[in-house]
Amino acid sequence: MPTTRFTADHERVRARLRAYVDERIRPQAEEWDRAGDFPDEAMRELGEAGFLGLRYPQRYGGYGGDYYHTVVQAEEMARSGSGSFSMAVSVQTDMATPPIAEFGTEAQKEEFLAPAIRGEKIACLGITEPGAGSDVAGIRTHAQGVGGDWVVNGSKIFITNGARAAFCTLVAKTDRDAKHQGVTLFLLPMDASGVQVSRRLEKVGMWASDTAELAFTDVRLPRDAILGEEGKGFYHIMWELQGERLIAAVESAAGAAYGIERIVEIAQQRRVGGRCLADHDWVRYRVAETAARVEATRQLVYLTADRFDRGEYPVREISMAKLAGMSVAWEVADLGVEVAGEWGIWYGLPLQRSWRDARLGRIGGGTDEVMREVVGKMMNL
Amino acid sequence: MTFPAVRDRPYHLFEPEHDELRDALRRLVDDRLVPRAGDLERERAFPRELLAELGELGYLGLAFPHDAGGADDVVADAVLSEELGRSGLYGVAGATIELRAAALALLLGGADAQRQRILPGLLAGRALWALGVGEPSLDPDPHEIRASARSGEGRFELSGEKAFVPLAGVADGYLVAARTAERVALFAVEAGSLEAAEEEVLGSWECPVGTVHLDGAVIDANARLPAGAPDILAAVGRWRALAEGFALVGLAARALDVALAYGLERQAFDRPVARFQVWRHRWAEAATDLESTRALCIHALRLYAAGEPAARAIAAARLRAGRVAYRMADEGVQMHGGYGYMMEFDAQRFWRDARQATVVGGGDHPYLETIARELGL
Repeated sequence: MPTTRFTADHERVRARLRAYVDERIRPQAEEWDRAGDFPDEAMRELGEAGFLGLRYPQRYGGYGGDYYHTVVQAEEMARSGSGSFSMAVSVQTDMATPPIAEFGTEAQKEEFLAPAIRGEKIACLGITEPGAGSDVAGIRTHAQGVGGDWVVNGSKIFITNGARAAFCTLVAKTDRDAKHQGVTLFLLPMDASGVQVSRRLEKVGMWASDTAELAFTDVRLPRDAILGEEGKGFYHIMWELQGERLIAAVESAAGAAYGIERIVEIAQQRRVGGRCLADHDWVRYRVAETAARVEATRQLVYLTADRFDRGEYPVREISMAKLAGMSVAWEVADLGVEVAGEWGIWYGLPLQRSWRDARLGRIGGGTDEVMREVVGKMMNL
Repeated sequence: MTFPAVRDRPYHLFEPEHDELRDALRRLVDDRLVPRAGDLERERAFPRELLAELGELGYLGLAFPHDAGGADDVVADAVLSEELGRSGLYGVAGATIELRAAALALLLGGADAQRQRILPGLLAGRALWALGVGEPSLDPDPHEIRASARSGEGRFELSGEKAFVPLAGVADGYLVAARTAERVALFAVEAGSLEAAEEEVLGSWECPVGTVHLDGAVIDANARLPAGAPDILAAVGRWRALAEGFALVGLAARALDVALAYGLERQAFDRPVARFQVWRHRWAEAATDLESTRALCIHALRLYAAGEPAARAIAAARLRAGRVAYRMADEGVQMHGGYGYMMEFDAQRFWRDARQATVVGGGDHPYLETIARELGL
């Protein structure tokens, strides 16, 4: 690691997590992918080992670390070879739970955050709907106040962890007529009556990660199921998305750097036309150029993380980091396939899996186009 | 032998009969392949019956001489490639290309007896043959072949392994490249004498590829094709590059159509996604790329059909076609948003197929090498 951002403690955590990933995750990545699932115990074990709450207070079972502990977590998970499991963990630690830590009541933290940190309750985040992806204010899922309770109706799609989650951090409309001001967050137990996993979606990549379509039919939630403030859900979730996008950028930049290491290995091992791939100009130059972009992206990501760590909210840089991180991670995955040629498309090597997995980055958590839109807006365009 | 037959009016490529052929193929593809494309791939339903049907209709032999049962019409042959590519089920186009490539290798390099024995069934789509050239060394260059054929007592004993052999496991025979004491030759080997195993790969699951193990296979001495493998493969390679160019243009066109149809239907921020300026311009660029690439393919076909030097044009056409198909398919996934990543939508299949088609056989490099050589570099 090239900087002083990481203290001796960060490096200790990194070493422990790297050993854990080497021993407990990477060897199973292929098997989980083929099975189309990872076992829930994998999440619980990661929680028991203390890696699901690095940034959360010790009071709830967390490690009590800072943002760079989360960065370490994302960077090491990026080396796991399982895009699916890394994504499930990200949802657990950096998407579905930060709003609880930030906006939740003490009771909500005890009921949802603490068991999530222990890996006992797997979490999902319910934003996207069949008719509304990037357009969060356009969601239709509705929570109606009825006799002191809330009654939720609607549906969500592309919900990572959705088929196995114990609870959902849910975005719903509490006022159909209001746009942004009509959105509220809820904590919804997935075993509540009326919650149905209507479909488990088959994806082209990220096979070990479950992606659900959820249907809510007259799901009754108590008054205190609201997370944060009523009518402030849009702003809460926009806040969440910044953290989600930044950590995704961290992970993808680290994954890209790891991908470059693997391409170098392949280039040294394999021969074409009587020469090592590494002895072909086109391979050396493409790898060198891509590696330069990876490094530049990593530094952009670190500078953005510095500001986030200081409590700033740099939407422009976060959106740039997400756009650049996903794009370079994708380029590395594509270069891996190209360099390896036919072996790149062969299921016996993980290159094609990285290629399929990495493609989601340019879509999930806000597409490239949405990121460009946000950056443009932040530049007063 | 002159292949393809030189045409009288090479600058007037598409005759009414070609338009009729295109219409007929389009109906067949739209009725039989497009509606079930996703299932056919998922079920790994190798289209053996369809290939037999195409053979029976004379489509597999379009480019071949009349005395081989063909139509001597390389233009019609290109129409076939493009329209099958347009099915968006690239493995089907690929399978017909593999069959025709094997048939062409026999036509150009086979002995009379070999041609008479194999070609009629092959062009009729009844007996499927495929070329097995590449080896696990990751090297598509026939000069680097290590598989060997040791001769003795009127026989050859083969050893070695062929990697990423098209139609592995479903072919009835393979033309395998192996080194004898003197040179590299092709051997026509019945599938029964070899062990073939299908490998799992990224795309085009309806058309298997796999490994063919040669070790221990003992074949008759007259299984060797008389002409040298590098010469045959170079000639087959030119035809193949052109056929793939048209098939990839077809695939790109399908990816474009499907993406636009989705993008016009899908609403975001109160309007169809495809109507956002950024997408309108991206698709305008993509459509321009597609149109110019198709024109380049037609230009290469014209030279090829006229018997003029066509190597550079063909290589350029194939290079561009691969890139356009992959780019179009990738843009198609992106336009679909989250749905583009879902197996139930066709966008991801075009994308996997296009990626696979652009890395097999050495990827872009043989074409870049050819163009560079033609430039005197």
